[in-house]
Amino acid sequence: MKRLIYFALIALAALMTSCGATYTTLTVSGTPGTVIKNAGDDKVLGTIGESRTLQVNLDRDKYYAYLLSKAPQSDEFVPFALEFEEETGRYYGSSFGVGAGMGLACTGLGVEFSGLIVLLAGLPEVGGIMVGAGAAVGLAGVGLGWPLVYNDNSDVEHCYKYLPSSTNDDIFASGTPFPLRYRK
Amino acid sequence: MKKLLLMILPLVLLAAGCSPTKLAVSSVSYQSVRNAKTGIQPKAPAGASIMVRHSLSTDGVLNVYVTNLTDSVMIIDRTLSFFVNSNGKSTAYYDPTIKTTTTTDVASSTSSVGVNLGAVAGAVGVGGALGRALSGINVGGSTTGGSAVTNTTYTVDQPTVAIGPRGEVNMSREFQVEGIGKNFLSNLAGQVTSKENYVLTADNMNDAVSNFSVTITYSLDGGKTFDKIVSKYYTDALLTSFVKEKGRTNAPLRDIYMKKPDALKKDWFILYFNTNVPSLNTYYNDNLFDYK
Repeated sequence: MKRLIYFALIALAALMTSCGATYTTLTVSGTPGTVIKNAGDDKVLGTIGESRTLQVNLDRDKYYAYLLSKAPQSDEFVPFALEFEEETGRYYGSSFGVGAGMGLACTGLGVEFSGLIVLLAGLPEVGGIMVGAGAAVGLAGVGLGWPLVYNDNSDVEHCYKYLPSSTNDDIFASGTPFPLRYRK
Repeated sequence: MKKLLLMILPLVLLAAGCSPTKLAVSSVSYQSVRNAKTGIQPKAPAGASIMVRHSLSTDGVLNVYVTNLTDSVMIIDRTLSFFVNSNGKSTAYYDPTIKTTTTTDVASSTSSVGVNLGAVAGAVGVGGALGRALSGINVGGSTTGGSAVTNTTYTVDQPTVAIGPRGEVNMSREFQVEGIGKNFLSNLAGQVTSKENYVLTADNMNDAVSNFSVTITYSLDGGKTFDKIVSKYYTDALLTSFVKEKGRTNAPLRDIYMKKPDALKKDWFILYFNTNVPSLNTYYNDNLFDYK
């Protein structure tokens, strides 16, 4: 039982650290010298190096459907989509942590309240221990649940993880790629 | 320990049992709007007296800005300036109705009386632990009084607007253009049952899925004679490419680029990812203008 509790505590600590990060990292590949920009805040995220890949950080406040890239010989930014895959583990982990936090907080509150009654009934030693222990458990519950509830992580809340992405500059590199074929 | 776990478990299960709104991107859409006139230059040529900028938001809301390119005072006649929507319905910029705005300022004061239960307990002879506990509890009563002042503001539209030399004004009225913007694209993609990619193009206003025009009537001689500029716009390309495999959103975007290689060079365009969660999902260019 003790091992299980230790394992759960370590897992929850890792989860809280992961959920608390304000940005996520993803890999973009493309031609060396290509500039990558976030259209949301018009901020340049970096330039792809000789390794043909670039690690960029994105805020986790919302889903970014695309980023912009500008190839070395180009004068315009071209959107490329950020692909993703479903990932439910962190959502359920976070929910589990919130539930555990709520459970601990409620349990602590119950013990504390019972201790208060015992205290009022004239058993100060037992009551005092119960109030102290209840408050400690309650605070531990709040400490566990709070960071997981009050996070702003779109990827956890909506169960996705960005996949490595590629720019679309190759389409425009050699002019018109396909003859236009429209249908009404 | 077992009892503690039994108390916690229901809440854990309750919190973990909530189902999330999972991210889904169903399609990528593109729409471009062009001026019906051909040969519009990126900058108004020398000799032009008026330039009209038509700012169209991603929601299809139109704002019009008029620039006086001359050294004279320009007068805009708003009673003879119109917006015509996709459905053919025209609306004048001048709104003769009087708008009334009422605001109320409330000044209030609050007074309260508090009673400490510990004092009451002491008075009635309750001592010990209970008396000490009650000493921290206050029970209060309060009363509020005040006065309200109501201010009424009447807003009357102006039939004419003067623009100084080289100056610019906003026409002070927004219009929702039908058939343009991300809501339109989202609804259109939702209505297609076959989920087959589609492309609609138009070479003129009559064939377009949406069009609009703006007429600005102006005078450069103090209102003796009036001239007008009529700007007409229409959707010349509308493409939607559906996401075939969950999360693989770049393939439909590339499909749009393949079919419309000049997609990013249009004066007004919107690229829209149809998502179900808060997202940065719209990329657009807003550079529609006309001159005379």
